[in-house]
Amino acid sequence: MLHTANSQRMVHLEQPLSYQDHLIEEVRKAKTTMKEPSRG
Amino acid sequence: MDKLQLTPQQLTFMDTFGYLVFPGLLRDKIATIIDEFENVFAMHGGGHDGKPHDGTARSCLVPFIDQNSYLAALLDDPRVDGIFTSLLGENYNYLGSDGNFYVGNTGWHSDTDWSGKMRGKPPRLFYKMALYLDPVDGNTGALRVIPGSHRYGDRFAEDLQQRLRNSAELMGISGAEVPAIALTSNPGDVVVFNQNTKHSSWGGNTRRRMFTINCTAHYAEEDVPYLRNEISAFARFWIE
Repeated sequence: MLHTANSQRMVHLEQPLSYQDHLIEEVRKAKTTMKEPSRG
Repeated sequence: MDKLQLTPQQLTFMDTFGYLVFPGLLRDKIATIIDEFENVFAMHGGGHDGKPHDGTARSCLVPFIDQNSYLAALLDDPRVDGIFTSLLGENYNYLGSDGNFYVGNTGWHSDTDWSGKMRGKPPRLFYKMALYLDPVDGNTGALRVIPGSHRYGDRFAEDLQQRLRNSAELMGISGAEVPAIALTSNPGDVVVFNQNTKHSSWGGNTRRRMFTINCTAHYAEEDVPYLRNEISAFARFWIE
């Protein structure tokens, strides 16, 4: 998604990218309680 | 190709009923879309959690279009971009996609957290674009929607929220018997709905291919905590 994004596509990606610093910790926590990725 | 712009009538239909259907909108691309859909799943063992899809439960990959340059470029397509721009403004946010092999029924639900914790009260507007890659009708896995059920705070919508999951006891009907519109779909058609809209699907085979693209408007500064909620919600898909 990012690798091929032109400036127009980036308009739709930049704000979410700016606020995902906590995601690694959220994934770590999920791994402690889930046996497999969610199915929906 | 000019950027698609929804008509005032289409926007009013969406506002009133909570969904829109675009028959054949991506027919010119659908053969490659299907090939690339299969390629993404093949990269992940063919199904869920790195294992082949065995038809016993839904396989789901999140994020989905992000993993394939052709599918990611759908965001640039003037028809896809035009629909989201019409609904959400020029600087809308792309907030994820899922690729699926569906199996069996999916009961009535909204994709919005009705409590307000995730997206506020009333819930922030999110639209889901769904592409069904196999022909489906009301009894073979097509999306069924209840028109008007997206209107958070409206008595009809609130009654549905309280009653749908217990329709047999409260109304004497199964989920499949709930009055609704079935959005029959063929490959190349595009379905878009407000994520508040109550939806379900019934019947069909055990390898029904569908993927979504989800978008919302740009967040105002005071709403950024809700954006962080959305991103946190991705974690449960990323433990592979």
